[in-house]
Amino acid sequence: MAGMSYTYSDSRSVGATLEGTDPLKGYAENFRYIDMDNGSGTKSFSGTSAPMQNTQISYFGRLSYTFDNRYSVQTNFRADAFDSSKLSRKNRWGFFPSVSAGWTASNEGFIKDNISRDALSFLKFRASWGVNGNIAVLNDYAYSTTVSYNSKVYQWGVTDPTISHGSVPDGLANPDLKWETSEQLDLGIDARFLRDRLTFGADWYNKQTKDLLMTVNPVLEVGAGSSVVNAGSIRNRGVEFEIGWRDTAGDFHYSVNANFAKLSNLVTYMTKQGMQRIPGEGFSNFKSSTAFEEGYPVWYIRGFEYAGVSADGKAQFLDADGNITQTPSSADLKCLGNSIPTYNYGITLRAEWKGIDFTFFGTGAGGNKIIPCVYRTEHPLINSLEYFHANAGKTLPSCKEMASSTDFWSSSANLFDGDYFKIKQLQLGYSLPDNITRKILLGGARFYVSLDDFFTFTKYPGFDPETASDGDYRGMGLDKGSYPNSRKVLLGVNISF
Amino acid sequence: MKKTIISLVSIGAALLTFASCSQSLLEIPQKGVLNYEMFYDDSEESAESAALAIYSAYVTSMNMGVMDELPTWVIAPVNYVLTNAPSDDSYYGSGGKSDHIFGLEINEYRPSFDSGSLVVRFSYKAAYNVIYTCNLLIDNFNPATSEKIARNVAEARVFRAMAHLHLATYWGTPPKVDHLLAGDARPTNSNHDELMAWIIKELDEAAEALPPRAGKGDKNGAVRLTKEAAYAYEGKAQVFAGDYNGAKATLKKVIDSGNYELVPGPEMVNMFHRAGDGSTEKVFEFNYVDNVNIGIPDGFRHFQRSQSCFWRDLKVLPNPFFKQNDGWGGGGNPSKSFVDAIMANEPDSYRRKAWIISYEELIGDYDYSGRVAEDKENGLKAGEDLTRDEKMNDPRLGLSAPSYYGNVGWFLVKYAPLETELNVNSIDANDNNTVMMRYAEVLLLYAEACAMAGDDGSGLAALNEVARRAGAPLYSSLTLDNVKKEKRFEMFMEGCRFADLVRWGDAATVLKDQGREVPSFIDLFEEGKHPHEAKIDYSDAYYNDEYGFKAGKNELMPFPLGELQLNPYDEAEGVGIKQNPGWR
Repeated sequence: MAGMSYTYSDSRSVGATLEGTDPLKGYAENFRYIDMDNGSGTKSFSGTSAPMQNTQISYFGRLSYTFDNRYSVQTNFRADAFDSSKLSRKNRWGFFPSVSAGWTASNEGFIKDNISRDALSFLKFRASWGVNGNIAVLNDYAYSTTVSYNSKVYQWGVTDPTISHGSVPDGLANPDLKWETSEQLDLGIDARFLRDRLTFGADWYNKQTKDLLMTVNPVLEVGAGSSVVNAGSIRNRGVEFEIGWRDTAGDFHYSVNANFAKLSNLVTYMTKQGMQRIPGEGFSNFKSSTAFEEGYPVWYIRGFEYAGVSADGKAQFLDADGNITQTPSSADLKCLGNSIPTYNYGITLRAEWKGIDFTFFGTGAGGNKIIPCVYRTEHPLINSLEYFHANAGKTLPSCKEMASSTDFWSSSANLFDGDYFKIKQLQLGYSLPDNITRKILLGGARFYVSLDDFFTFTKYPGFDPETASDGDYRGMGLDKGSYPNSRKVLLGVNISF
Repeated sequence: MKKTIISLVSIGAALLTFASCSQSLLEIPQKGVLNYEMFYDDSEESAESAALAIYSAYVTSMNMGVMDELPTWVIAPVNYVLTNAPSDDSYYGSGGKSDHIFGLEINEYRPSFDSGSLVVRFSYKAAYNVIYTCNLLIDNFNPATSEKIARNVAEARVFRAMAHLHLATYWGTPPKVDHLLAGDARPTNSNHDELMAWIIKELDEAAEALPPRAGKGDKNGAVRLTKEAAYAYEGKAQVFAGDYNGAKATLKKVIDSGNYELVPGPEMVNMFHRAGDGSTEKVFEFNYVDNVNIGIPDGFRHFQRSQSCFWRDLKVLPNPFFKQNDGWGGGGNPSKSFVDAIMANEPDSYRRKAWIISYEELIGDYDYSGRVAEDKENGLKAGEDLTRDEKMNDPRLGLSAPSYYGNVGWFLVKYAPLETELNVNSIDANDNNTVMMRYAEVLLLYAEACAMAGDDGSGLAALNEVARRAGAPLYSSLTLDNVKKEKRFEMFMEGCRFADLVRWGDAATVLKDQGREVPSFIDLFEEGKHPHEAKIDYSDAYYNDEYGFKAGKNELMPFPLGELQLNPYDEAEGVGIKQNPGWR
């Protein structure tokens, strides 16, 4: 298969207004148009906007080949280019090949002949490698130096509001800007055993993103604003397992499925051009924040390391050299953990017996840390978490000491494990038998009761560890009170006709 | 078979055609911009446009700062905080000791004030942003092209020198950036004395190409750089560098120009308000006139200063002040040390009343017309009908909170936002100008240079000109101590005091106990029993154990932390930034 696509979008807008005390012929819903005027008003035309034009050209192709239900190979290729608002003519084309291969070992004679289909019904090994690209964050000709013409104002007359205009370049240009690319290697296995009752799948992947597009700031003395650069590399690596069992014993049908994924990410390289640590999100006057830096997980949490209470009741911290201090400086801020969970898992149980059905579905995640953004020192009278009151004067300083210590709130004392397990759904249902529903001319009727998001197991003292984020991709782990998932009790009837 | 080949070739040819024309399909010109070469084209129009951009950048650095980095928690003009907060003239205030820590920590010399301070970072950054806009002009235009371009280049050199003077004063050895730097530049500390010499030389040369102010009445000559403005800054740099003879000669040019005169004492109250814009005393200030058609550019409006100087915790404010709906304020309250000093010297002077007023004056001496309505039920009159005695006993006036943090019952009226100068459709921005250099400072710098290098009588005359206008007692001799005293009163909260204390070598003694006590005040008012009266409350004034200026460290600000991590000093290469002594 081979193809080519060309997309061109062009949007323009025009504006017009009609002003007057009684400008329309009528005021019913269907009269509210500018050309329904009665001639008494003033029509003005605010002009046509500059066109918003976007173009994309792609070429793509695919070759796939399967031999004897045992071996399959597929290759894909695509080349993409966007218009000149994204990348320069020199760097605009991105070339993205991928290849995948599968070996269905269970169809090999030596397995078929030696292992019963009842024991091993399916076994497949998969491998794939591919490159893809991203320039979604690019716009506005970031690669070129342009001058924001007449974008600055000043007035030369002390009593005259007339404006004069001035122009400056909009930041530093980066003519070498190019595609951000990700190279991913995937290895997997799918298997079914015992007459398909037991299923198993596993995947390992390693994704290296390089030439990551980021906005960086040069040293302050350069004096110019930020520029977009191909700033660094990130490695995402993980494993995923899935295992399931389903069976039937007389009228009793049941299944169990479980999955587990472990992932890690690391900033493996950052350009030496510009800021070496990119600050992410923070809160209030806290010195803690998220940050992006070589050698650390993506948007890791940065703060002081809390070291308990001193003999005189003050909060203590570890400085950069590992010594106890009560007055840490910004140079003592360090990585306190991941803001993004490093593992997650789920389990689903289903059972059905003579019209009665039962579902249990739970998920969990963890390995991350959360900063509860509740208390703020500039408003000492607002609420804080119960945890701090309960531990004041014990593992934590007294409430009086805590109340005004920004360092304390910027430390690991105000940082908690985000691990949780949540029973997302616990449902019990009963379906009326067919012979009854048929009599009352229904296709089916099912009554159920369900507890959704009802049970959460966590040590996190804030709201909901699942939704704890400030809504920005850089601010995972900053719990600014995102609306938690509510606990729900549902009573329901499903009727079909 | 043959047919197949032909079709393949034609497909190939079609693809090639598409590929070759596709390049042009992808070319979409950017709208509303010029490219670099098109703009910097040597024309007078472009040079003027590039010069205007410097004014815009500089005034932005004074009012809003450059606050484009996250996480941000600086809600005051950074240069106002950086230059005023470390001195003994004010308490930083705000809502409490844990509120606006970015300012409190500088004011009280708290241990948390370190190289991570965003006030430090943004002030440093804004100065170099100004320098960048200057270098864009200086590097791209040739002053020999025309007289107009020569003027623009001279303006850029003056602004560049002013920004370097700010940096040299507060950081000592900031890198000298006299040309455009590439994005991967690694600047290195300058030598302070060489930097100061360069600043002075730049100002001196640039002054030549600038026009003088066209007389005292030339208001517009106060908002665009003039020859005298360049000389005023040159003289200031010479005093700061210890070249008193040079300063005397340079500042004398400003005085002898005849283009400046101190405004009369009763008009001092207008100095930082619209009515005083472009007055005879303004050597240089950034202009801003409200214009409803362009809205309010952030850099011009005094939104942040109004917000941070606005008086909070008062039930109602009298005319002509306005109370903001959502201001944070409470910042920049006169310190006890300043209040005591000025009240001992000149309790009823024009200057004292134009700079600071007491809580009792605020309640009793100002007009509450339209601010409180008649309340028949409780037998209270409307604001316009209240006598002084009634105001002092009126429960509707006074504190709205139990106490007022970081305040000894005195308010800074110098910058207090006035209702009459509110921008149209705005509840928080006013359009008075941003004063940079006024004639009083020129006279005081001249008096100091004369006190140090020898006086022919003109130094004492300059000092007394300032005192006389203020309505303060005159001096019988020109001593450095008299200059110090007068300058503290005159330049109160104008960003001079801390830098002066440091260069006079007085900081370690005068600021020894700065931040040790941060009093609040309470109102003794009790309805029917005690009129409104401020009483200083020391009950929670002593919370900072590590108060005070530390000699050998606090003379200079720290280089911003991020900067040191990005560009640390490399012994082998001899490039990079060395942190100032005592800072990490």
